[in-house]
Formats: sequence, C-alpha cells, structure tokens
Amino acid sequence: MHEEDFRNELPDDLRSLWEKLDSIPGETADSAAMKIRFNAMLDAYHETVDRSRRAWWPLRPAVQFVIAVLILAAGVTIGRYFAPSRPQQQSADLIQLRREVGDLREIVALSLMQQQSATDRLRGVSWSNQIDEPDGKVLSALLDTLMHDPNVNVRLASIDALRRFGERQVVRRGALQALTRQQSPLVQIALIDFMVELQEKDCVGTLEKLAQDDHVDETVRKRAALGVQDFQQRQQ
Amino acid sequence: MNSLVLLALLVAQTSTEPDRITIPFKDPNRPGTVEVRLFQGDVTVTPYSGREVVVTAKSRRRRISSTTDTQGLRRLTGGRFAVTEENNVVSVRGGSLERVEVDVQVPAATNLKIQSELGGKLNVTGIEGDIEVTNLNGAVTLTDVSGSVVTHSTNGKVFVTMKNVTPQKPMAFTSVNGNVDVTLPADTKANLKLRTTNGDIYTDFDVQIATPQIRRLDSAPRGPHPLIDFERAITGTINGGGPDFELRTVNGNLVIRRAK
Repeated sequence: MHEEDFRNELPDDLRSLWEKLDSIPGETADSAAMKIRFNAMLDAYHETVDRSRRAWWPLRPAVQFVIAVLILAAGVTIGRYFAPSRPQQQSADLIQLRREVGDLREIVALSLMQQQSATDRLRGVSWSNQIDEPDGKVLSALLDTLMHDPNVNVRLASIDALRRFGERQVVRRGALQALTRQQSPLVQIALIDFMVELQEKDCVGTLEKLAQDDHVDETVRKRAALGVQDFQQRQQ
Repeated sequence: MNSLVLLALLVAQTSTEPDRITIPFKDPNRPGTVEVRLFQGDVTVTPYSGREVVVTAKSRRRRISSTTDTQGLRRLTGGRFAVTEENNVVSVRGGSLERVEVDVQVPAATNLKIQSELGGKLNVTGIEGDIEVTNLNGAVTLTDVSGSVVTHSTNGKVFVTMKNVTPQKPMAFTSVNGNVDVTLPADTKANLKLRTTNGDIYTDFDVQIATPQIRRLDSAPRGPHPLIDFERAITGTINGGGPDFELRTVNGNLVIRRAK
C-alpha cells in the first residue's frame, strides 16, 4: 500500500495531524556540532565519576585486595556471630543419641551371648563389634564366651572380637588363661596367633609347654613352636 | 563244623534289632529343637511328614541275653541311649562309650544341635532351622539344608549345601585338618571371612575383597625370614555384604560355590 492511499484511509483528525507532522522542518544532522556536544557531556560525566570515586576507592590493586579481604573477614565474623548456636547443640544431641544406640547394642549383644542357640551367640559376638567404646561388661562377656562357650565357632569368633582390645591387660590375661585351658586345636591356634601378634611375652612359657605336650594336636604344637621361635628372634 | 555254628551264633547275637523311640514335642506348633550328643558314632537326620521325633539307634555291641529265656517279656532297659523332652527340646544322649548309629526323623522345620565327642559321620539332609553340628574325627555333611549353619569338624571335612539362607544370621564352617566346601544360594548377602594356613581358597562368587582386616603375624617388623608364613586370609563381601560367614581351616582348602 502506498503512503498516499494509506493517508486517505485515515480518519480526518488523524489525517490533519499527519499533515502537520509533515510540515515540521526536518532535523539536519550537524555531525561536527553533535560530536562536540557529546564529547563535552562525556567529559563532564567522567569528571564527576572520577571525583566521587577517588574520594573513597584507592587505585592501588594491593590496597583494593586488602580491603576486599577485610570485608570478607568482617562478613564471616558477623555471620558467625549472628548464626544460631545450633551446630553445637546438634552435636550434643548426636553424642547423646550415639551413646544410647551404643547402650542398646550392648544390651542386645549381652543378651544374645546368653542364648541357647550357637547362631544367636555368634550374633551376639558380632553385635559387640559394633559397640565403639564397650564397657567392662561387654569385655568380660566376650572373655567368658572365649573361656566357656560350648561351641568352637563361637569361641573362635570371640577372639576376633577381642582383637580390638589387645592393648588392655584384662584381655591379654584372659586370652593367655584361655590358651592354657583350651582343648580345640582351631581355637588354640587362633590364640597362639593372637599372643604372638600382641607380643605378650608372658605367654612364652605356655607356648613352650604346648609345643612339647604329646597330647596336643600336631598342628598346634608346630604353631606354638613357631611362636616361641618368633619371640626369640625378636629379642635378638 | 563246631566252629562254624559258633560263628553263626555270634553274628546272630551282634545284629540285634534296633532300639526305636518316638517322642513328641510339647508344642508341635512351633519349631522344636533336637539335640543329639554321642560319645562316638554316626548320626543321620532326615525330615519326615510326622510331628514327633523318631529316634532309631543301633549298637554294634552284642546283648548279653542269649542263654536267658526272655520269651513274652518286655525289655525295660532302653539300652544305649537316653531320650528326653523338655521345653520343646528333645535330647538324645549316647549312654556309653560304645559306638552307636543313630537315625533321627524330625519335622522339616526343626533346630538341630548335634555333637559327636570322638567322631563319626554326621549327616543332615533337608532340614530347615538353626543347625549346629560339631564333630571331632569324621565328616560333617549337610545336604540341602536351610536356615543357618554353625559347624566344625576338627579332623574331618565339612561339606554343606544350602537351599535357603536366613538373612541377617551369621554362620561358621570350620575345620583344622579337613576341607571346607560350602554351596550357597547365588543371591546370598554376606561378609565372607576366609582363612586357611596351608590350603587355598576357591570360589565362583564375585567376592568384593575388602582391605585385609585380619592382622597377621607377619605384619609386624621382624627378621629376614618370616617364621610363620603368610596366612591366606581374605575378607570380602558377596552381593553387597551381610552377616559374617566365617570359613576357616588350617590344613585344608576352602571352597565356596554358588548354587546353580
């Protein structure tokens, strides 16, 4: 559509407006004058910005960096200060909870170790492995199992469970005592290994006796002899 | 001629008819426990459709009876083993030091506790429950059992095939001078603790080997020649891990098979 046609289509008032617009003299681009005006404006702007910034913002990057770090540190400090003291509270709750779970595990372990079924007693021994800081009750239950449990496999498992507490005197003494009374070769061997591992020097006499006892299983005697040799070699 | 007759008489006296006792559980609706404890002899446990425990015992000792007239009399002395029931536990005890053969028929869901002090063949087939078998000289053979197993034979091999495994129950299969051969369902979840001193370990399970937790004698500083050799000890999980399964022997191999 041509402009002429378009203008004819317009209502009267709009058409007259159109014609008035036509009569406004067109702005001629005076590029030189415009450039001067623009540059003047830009200069004025730069001047104000520079002046206001120079007033508080240092130009040296090192100083800028120090300020940034200080602001960051201040932010962190303020954040810490205003943050609710929940984390500490939470960890106290957590410790409490952990202690209760530990107590519960202890009760479960102790009661399972008293059961008729060897499977249950084995479960009790492996429960004891999950107690982080077992008290004397658990240790003496494990030592009791090692000494008196009627099942070989349960006694064997108790040695593995006691391994964690090898540095405790009561465990060393208990294991050595068990070695003198134990009849099952498999448990005897596990105890010999345990003693050698602990470097429990008090056991050398017992090992020598075992190594020379004709009633003791051949494999156990050999193991005891190796244990004695091991102690002797380490002393040299 | 005379000596032949004497021999025949001896044979007839030796093969005495077995002692058979049937004893019910107090509460047959929950799984009972059967304990068999012999000084020495063979024990065979099989399931049957009944709800009672049937104990059949054969002794190789001949009876002192031949010359006495016992026609029409009942024998009051049960012979060589004692059977009692208390709190759903049926207990069978060998009465003397002689060697006996005991066959026990039980309901399929029964817990077992079998022990031979000196030894014999201990066989269990198709039972479901907590199964505890301890032997000294002789094999332990548990075939198609379910539930959980705790077993040991000092000088015999341990051979176990399991149909189903109760989750979350630890198990143990151990020997000193025998092989330990265990077949488990393919989806069994467990932490395997495998240890042998002079044998090797074989399996077709995909065992995720953990960092060795078992500290060994050779781990501490020592002289140039370690006196106690490396134990072949492996701990690892199958199917993501579960309860501890201890397999241990000293002078034998360990074999863990996946049931096909």
